[in-house]
Amino acid sequence: MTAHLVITVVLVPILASIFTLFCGDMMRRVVCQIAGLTVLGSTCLIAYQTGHSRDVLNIVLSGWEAPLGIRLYLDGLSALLLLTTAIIAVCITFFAEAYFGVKARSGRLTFFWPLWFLVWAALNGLFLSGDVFNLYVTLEIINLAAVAMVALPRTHESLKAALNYLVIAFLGSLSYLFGVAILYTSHGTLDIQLLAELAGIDGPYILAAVLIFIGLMIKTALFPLHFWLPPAHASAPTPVSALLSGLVVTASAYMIIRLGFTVFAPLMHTPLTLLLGVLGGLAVLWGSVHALIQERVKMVVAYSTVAQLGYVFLALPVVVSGSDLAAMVWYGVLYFVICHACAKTAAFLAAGTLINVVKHDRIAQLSGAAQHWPMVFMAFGMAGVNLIGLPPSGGFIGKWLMLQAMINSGQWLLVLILIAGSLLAAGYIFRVLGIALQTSEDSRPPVPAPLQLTLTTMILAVLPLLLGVFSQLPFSLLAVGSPFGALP
Amino acid sequence: MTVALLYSITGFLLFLMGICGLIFRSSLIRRALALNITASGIFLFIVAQAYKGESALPDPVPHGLVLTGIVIGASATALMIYLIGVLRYVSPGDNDSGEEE
Amino acid sequence: MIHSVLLILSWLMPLLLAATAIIAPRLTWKALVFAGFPGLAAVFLVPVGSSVEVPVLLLGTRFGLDQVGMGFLFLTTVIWILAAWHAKGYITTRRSSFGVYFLLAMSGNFGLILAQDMVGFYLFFALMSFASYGLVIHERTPEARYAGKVYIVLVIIGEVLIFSGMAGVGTLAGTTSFAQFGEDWVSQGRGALFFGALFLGFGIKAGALPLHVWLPLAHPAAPTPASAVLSGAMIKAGLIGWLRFLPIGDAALPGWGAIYIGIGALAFIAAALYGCMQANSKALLAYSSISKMGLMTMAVGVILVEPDSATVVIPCILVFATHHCFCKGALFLSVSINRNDVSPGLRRWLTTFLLLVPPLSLAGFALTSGEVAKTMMKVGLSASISVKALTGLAVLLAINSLLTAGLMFRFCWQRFKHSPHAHQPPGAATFLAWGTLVGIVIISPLLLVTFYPVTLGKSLSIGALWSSIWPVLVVSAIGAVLVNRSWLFVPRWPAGDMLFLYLLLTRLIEWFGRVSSRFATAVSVDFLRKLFIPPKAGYHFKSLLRQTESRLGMATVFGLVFIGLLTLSTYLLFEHI
Repeated sequence: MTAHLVITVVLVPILASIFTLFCGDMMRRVVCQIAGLTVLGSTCLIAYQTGHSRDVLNIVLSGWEAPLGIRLYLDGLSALLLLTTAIIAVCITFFAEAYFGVKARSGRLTFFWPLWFLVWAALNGLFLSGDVFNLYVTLEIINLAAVAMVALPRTHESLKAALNYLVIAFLGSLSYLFGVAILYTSHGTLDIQLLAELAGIDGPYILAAVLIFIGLMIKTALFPLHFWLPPAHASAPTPVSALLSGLVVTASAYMIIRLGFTVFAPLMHTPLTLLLGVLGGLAVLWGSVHALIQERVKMVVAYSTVAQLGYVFLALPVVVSGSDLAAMVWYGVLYFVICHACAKTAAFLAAGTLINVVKHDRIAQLSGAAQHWPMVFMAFGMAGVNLIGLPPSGGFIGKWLMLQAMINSGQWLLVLILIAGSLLAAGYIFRVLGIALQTSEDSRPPVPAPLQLTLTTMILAVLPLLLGVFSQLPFSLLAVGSPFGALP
Repeated sequence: MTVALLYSITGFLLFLMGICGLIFRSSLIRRALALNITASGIFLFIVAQAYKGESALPDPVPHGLVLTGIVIGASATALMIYLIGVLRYVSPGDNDSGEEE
Repeated sequence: MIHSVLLILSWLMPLLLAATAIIAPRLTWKALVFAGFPGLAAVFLVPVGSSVEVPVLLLGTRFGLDQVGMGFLFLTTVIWILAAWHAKGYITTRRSSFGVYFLLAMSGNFGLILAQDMVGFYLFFALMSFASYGLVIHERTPEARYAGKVYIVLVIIGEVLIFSGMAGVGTLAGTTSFAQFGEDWVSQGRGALFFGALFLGFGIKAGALPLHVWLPLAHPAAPTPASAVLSGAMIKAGLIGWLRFLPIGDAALPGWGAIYIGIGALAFIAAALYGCMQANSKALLAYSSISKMGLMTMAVGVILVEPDSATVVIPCILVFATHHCFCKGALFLSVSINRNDVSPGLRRWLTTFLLLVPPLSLAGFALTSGEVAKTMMKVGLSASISVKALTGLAVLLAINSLLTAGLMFRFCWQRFKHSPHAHQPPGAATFLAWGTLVGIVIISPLLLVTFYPVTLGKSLSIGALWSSIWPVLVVSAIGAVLVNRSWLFVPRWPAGDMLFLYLLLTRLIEWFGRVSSRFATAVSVDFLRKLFIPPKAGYHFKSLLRQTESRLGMATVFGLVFIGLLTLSTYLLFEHI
């Protein structure tokens, strides 16, 4: 039963992608909604089944065992990510429908739909992959489709951003592929679990690790390899920005955690993690400071992504394999990433709703906007609560776990960076909100924000808060198949 | 020195050459080509790993990997060249679509 | 079962009502008064010691009622309910926004009293602090915005301090439950650091001396019912924070105790003195609150020095807090009551009498709750301090009695002489809520005696009665002679006393930042010029950041970084094995 559902969540978006490429406008809308809701329903069932049976699931496609065949692997982490992705994706689908409106009925923007479903299919595939090469393939599909989507507006800056993104992402994936090749040469398998069992520190292993990590660092936009992200994320049409910042970077962050705690677990207490931690800390500070000086809301949110992704690496130096600290970091980072995905999507959608009604997102000219569109700014504020890491958001719980691990291991510098990052995040969120909340004399009757836009934004903004308040369920789901068992 | 090792080293050198090209060339087309050279280097390296000696059959998995890699590389190159091409006709400040800022 | 439901409903009800405002703002406004009822019911129906576990909330949270929580929950719920009632007549503009912030702050205040673990406490404390920002800026005047700015800056600093302190304590103690973490953590490693962070963080809320600057600004700016809850209930949250987090009554910490007693005593006297010079009635009341909180801070200090005295002193603190909450709430509410709004005759005389009760009570006049509370505090503290310290305490109390009497005299004078006709008399609810609260103040000596039987007798001795009457008589006599000589009331010191020092500090930091960034830019831009390309824009920090960012995007730099990282990490790893 679950096996069929798992196949469904990969297959349905692919089919939807093909259909939306060919069929007319009415048909396309029906296909989008049916596909979206089917996948959402299936992921709900998958998550329920996984949480209920508390078993990991291995699906060997058409009987081809590893290394030749494709093995799908479903544990609690995959199930939770599938579910989060589905919720975000359905919201983005409905948002995009209303956002593009009539413009998307013909012309270039119709290509958004096939590309978008392709990304979704690849994301689901990535979260289900049980071997390092499938990860590569799915990540590449995501990237190519994402680049095409960034280029959709066909303005000079978007084309430039797309090209930059493509070159960098391609280099990153080549680096990753090289690493995979070296791993295969020395161990004769691509399967993550087998590799984890065989792994021992030697020359080829180190080379492979370095290449794979660098590839993933580029894709996760870790400082100083991050420069491609803000232009690409900010110049794309809003639904694209949202899915890039919310989902696409989540995929590579997931890969780092997945591989870092399995195949590369022996490297977790070496200077490599120290380097990653330092770069993560710099990313937090650099991204936040840049978010503070941006002039457009979307750029603020994009730089905030750079900063927030830094936290994924920041906590790695405290991991000493096999201890409670590692478990705390594992749970903390993953929870943080999941909540960040929701909050970041919500923040971008809020900015998009704003662009939809005001036709610009320059912060200086937003004075008094909160009077006219209170719901939009409320959603932005709630997403901001998560980005800052205030309680009761899920971001708070993620940071809290990381913080405890850092304090326990006595890494005071990391604690300082984490707190400074939160303060800076408060700075850039309140800077936008502060200007928007000013009372302006301007009493033009405002254009009301379309309900479909506000509603989808609001759902995603509330989600991280719910994840923060009701954290028991997601944590018990994460514990299924976790390398550390339940949260200590 | 075996043939496989020779291929591997050549592959690695090609990888480095490609990256150097990426760094030191400013023309977009040249960069696209440099990336392709990098990719070819990696593919050469992987294919060389399939060699299991004179008498044994070569390992099929690396070939599979390389084929997939080539397909992805080709698509990426195509997209890159398309983007470079379009970029020539769209100047800064030009807003031919009119949907976003 | 019913107990668990009440414990949860106490804080959930205001929260739910606040959420209802999105759909039905009018309904929320109508139900404002009832939001606090589950909390009040919990005070009377839930036995001390019961608790309920909510595992789905935030990694598992416990709510429960202990002796201290019960005392604070009582005074908190009463003042919130009456303030809500008062607000229904008082607030005429932006009702829904006021209602939402009010309910959120209420939920936070109830929740933090009931929370039995750190994370829950922190969550509700943060909710309360941030929501009351909305109350402070309710009027949206420039003064309100300025007060809000000062308030929110201090709140954020406080949150960071509390959060770091809490994280440290939780880690050192290995648990987040209040009941379990004991006192060992203070002596461990950086325990003192965390103690300090918590002391300062909660001190901001409690109006402890160097951190009190937001109070005299926020109170005049906020609408009257909001000031009443700010001063009556929320200010006590800082005190609860101290009692919950710090090992009060468990460990002897004479050093910290001395600090507490010192700043408490200073606030006790200096704030009352400064308050006498205030032209604004609400600022005057705010200073009085700071002064009274000083006495409670001193009491906490005494427990820190003599942990064994906790069983005696904590009830004293509770009694005093209850008295101060009702009394100060009534005083704040009476700011919106105008004698001239009432038709002349018996009703006006009744109003005048009711207006006089809270000031007398706060000044500790005989047979009022103020006298009971003060006497009890004196007796409670005298049992655990040395004879010499007792003399000091008596002197402090006497000076404070005089100053408070002065404060109250000035307050009454302002109310009766300067109260102009209101443009529109506030609604009936305003009067009724105020009247009820004054009624509670009148009967609160009886209430206190019922709840805390120890107080009986101690406050009825001739000495106690005399010491409570003479300051009021002396001040009234002096005041009556001088009341028409306006020079006495000329001193008008600005509200916010030490704020200018902090402003100076921020200027200094700003200046330092500007100079250092200019210096850094000058140095590193030269460095960059040699390395890369000449800078286009001027020497400016922002443009430097932007330039560096675009440099990072250059292919050459990127390639070098890529190769550099590749070699560096390979080298590091090979070095490691």
